Amino acid sequence: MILRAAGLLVRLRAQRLYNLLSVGRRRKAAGVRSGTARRVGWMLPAVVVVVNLLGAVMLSWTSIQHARVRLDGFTRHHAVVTSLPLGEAVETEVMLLVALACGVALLMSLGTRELANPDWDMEWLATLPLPLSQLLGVRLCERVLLNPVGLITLWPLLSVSAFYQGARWLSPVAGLLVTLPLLMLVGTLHLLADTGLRLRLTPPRLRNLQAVCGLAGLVGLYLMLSAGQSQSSLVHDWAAALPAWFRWLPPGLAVRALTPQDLPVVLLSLLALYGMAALFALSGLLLLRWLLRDGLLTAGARESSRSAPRPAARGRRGPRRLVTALQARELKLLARDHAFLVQTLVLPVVILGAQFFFNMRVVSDLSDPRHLGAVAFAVMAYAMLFSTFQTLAAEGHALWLLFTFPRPLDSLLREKARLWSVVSLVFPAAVFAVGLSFADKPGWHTAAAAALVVAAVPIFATIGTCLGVLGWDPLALDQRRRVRPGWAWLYMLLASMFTYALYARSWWTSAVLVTLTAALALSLWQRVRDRLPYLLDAGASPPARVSLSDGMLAALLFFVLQAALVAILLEALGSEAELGRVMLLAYALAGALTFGILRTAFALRRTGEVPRYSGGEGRPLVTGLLLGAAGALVSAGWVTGMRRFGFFQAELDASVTALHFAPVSMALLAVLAAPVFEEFLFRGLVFGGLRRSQGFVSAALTSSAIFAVVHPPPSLVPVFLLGMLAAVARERTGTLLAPVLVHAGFNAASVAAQLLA
Amino acid sequence: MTDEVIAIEGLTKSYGGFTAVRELSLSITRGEVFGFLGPNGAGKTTTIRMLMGILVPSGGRARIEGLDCQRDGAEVKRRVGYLPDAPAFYDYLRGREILQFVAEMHGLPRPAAAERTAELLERLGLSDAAEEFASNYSTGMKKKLGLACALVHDPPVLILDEPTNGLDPRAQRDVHDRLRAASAAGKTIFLSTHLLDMAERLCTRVGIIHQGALVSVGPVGELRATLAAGGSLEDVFLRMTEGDGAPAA
Repeated sequence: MILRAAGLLVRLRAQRLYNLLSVGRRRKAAGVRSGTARRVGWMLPAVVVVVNLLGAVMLSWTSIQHARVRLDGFTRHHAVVTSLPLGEAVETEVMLLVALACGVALLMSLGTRELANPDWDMEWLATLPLPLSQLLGVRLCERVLLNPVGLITLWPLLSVSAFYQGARWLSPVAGLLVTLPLLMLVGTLHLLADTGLRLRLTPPRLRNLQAVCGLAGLVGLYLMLSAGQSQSSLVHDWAAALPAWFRWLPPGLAVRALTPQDLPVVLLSLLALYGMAALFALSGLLLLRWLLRDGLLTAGARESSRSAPRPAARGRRGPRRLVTALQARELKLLARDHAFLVQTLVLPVVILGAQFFFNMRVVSDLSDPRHLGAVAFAVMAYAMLFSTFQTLAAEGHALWLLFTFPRPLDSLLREKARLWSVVSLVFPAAVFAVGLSFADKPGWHTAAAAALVVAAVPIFATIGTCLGVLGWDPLALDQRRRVRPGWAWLYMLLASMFTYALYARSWWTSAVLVTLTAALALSLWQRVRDRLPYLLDAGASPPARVSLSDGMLAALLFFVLQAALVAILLEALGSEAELGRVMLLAYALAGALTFGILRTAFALRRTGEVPRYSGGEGRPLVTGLLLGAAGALVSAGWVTGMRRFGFFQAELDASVTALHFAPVSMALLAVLAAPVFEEFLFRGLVFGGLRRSQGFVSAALTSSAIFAVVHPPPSLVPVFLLGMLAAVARERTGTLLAPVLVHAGFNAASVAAQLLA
Repeated sequence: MTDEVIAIEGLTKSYGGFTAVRELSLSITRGEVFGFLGPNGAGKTTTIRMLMGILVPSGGRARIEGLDCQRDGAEVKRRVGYLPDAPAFYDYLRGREILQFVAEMHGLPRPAAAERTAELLERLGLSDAAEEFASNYSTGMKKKLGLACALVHDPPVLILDEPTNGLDPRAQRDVHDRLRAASAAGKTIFLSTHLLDMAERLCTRVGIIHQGALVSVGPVGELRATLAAGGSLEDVFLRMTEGDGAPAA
């Protein structure tokens, strides 16, 4: 009976873990009424497990190998020879790592959401026909066998250690054999802590504790990583200072049980290890029974959590005009909910601090203003992933309240985003303060980096809020997982693109990137406002159509890809004479890549009204050729005018020189590649997206302005005019063919005018 | 038609191929207590959510005091107090803080909001629990706090989803009395319920919704007389909502 119960419980838990990993996005198909999630199959969980295990194996491998080089005096070559057993110092270090892994496994288990879940599944299990002591035993069994963090940290480490000691293909079995008793210890402690804490602490306190445990576990994990990756880690110092009796504690015994050369030691260690684990588990169970002598009375019951009324709180007046009621509430939550506080304010600091701690090189790099700006921006952007990105998700079950207020939802979102941008400024400020204390003399480069980061704050607060809303899935099973991970990745992708603005060589590039990103933020905001009425709607959503945000995303992607490809190709080919060809190649590749990514995304989302090159009404060919002639006049006139009146002479000369270097490829680029890709982006997506919600004139003006700004300054005016002509062509024919012809005419005339003169 | 407070015309909501609410039309006048009856899953909550602008109707429209529930959402909410069927609140906030927050969000200045909060908590018997975290409240207390949130800006219209679900008999009686008092004070109340005795005791008029469609509407007495002579509202209800075989879409 008890075995069957244990089996069932373990199966239930495994099923839950599997579901957590394998349940993907909700299906958009018709007929789905409630939160039905679609399984993505067993592939994803399998991949996750395999990747994690492999990573752990690699880490253990390098940790032990490094330790052998450092402590046993092997060369790198000899360190991998597994027939040479580990020296005692290395063994001690592995023991410490095992102990750390046990700690991490315990802390991470306590740091899961389960601890803070107000519904305690023990209360439910207790209704099953099983005596309490058996129930506890079953529970322990389940905790031992299904501790994913424990298995992934301990098993590979001990197996690799066994392999080094010469256990060969038996290593995984030997590793598992000693992992189990260790997991038993961890499981007992977990069960004791879990149960004991629930009896003493209220759910809010438990959540705070959960946050602290998770954080401590993360620090432990970092320590383990540092032992494998760097030559000087705290772990090494600690291992050297361990007392002899540590070898007799369970982690020490586990490692010593893996020396196949010395059978008596193996048997003795195994016996001691299993004995200790069994004794510990038994006494733990007895203690638990004693703890639960009054039944499963949790501290979450209302009576015990009631605090004394605080009459002083009433009618209290503070300096409140500074923040709105909504912002005040948000700050109050931040101060009280430590899980939230840790995620938004502490974790970014810990991650950054860990980098400093384990990798001192970063500090010296910070004297470069560009690195300083990048670090400041990265920390801020990361922090926003937990604040602005969660504006809706953080409302949780209480979201309905926002719908009862006499204010449009978007104004509430804006208020929250504003608050978080101010809060997020803390990070760049701190990073710059640290960086400046290292810098010799801050110049205007530092000021420019700081200005860029400050400009990024509102932009990324908006982008974060928007992507958080767009990626929000109100039907996800778990409140805190409601933001789909893909959108978080998109956010991080955009953030990493923005760092390019910090590293760009010319201020013009930075300015363009900032402008484009700002325009993207605004276009995303437009889309959010489209989406808000459908927020809680399971069945309906605004139809997927090409919108401005697609165009802005594409333009940004194109811009960054192109710059990156030029840099990569120049590095690879390394010849200035090839510049023309490099430009052409980079341009064509970036265009093709952007085009491919966009078309794939449209196809996957089944977006309607994707711009096409064919079809159309009227006579696209005639319209295109006529307006193309007008475009040719504009560009030829502009080049002639530049030459006649001598403005932007240096730029013109450079362009002419480049043309002469590689006339054929430059002409191909200008007359063929550029029109085809740029028209898809700017007339197809940007103009088309704008046109959806605007009149022709404003859509044409705005799209032409964006089009002009991504071109070099000397051609600002004619390119703007080209944008207008192409917009007219697109508006009249509804196909991309006409604007492509206009663009080709314009560029052809420009190339001819430059070459012929 | 100045007396018409809630006007629902041909309201329809479908989720994919499933129609939750079909061509619903209703008109509710000032001072009425309208009971929206129906078995579980009949479309009551969907209708109410469309009234509150939480869901977008697939067809038709709803107006409150002449304002479109979808287009003029903010103005509608100024006039409506809403209680969902299972109100949930923020963790880490005390009952008093939540109510005061809601009051401030409705535009009350802080001292007035504090005053109003204290008064409402007192009236609803929540004073003792005011300094507790609302997430620790029992179901009944959460419902009361939700009701307080709905009443805090003194709206002329109340939309209540299962207002007495989960309350003990005394609390139920209490809510009934409060709703009667509110109605006497001229408020219009639209409440959904599947508790027939509540509808019988409280409502001036009821509508029975079944599988998304309104099957009958009228004063309780009238419905009883025409549809189940000599029977109770329960008989009416059971007769109107039998036959689950009808296709849903």
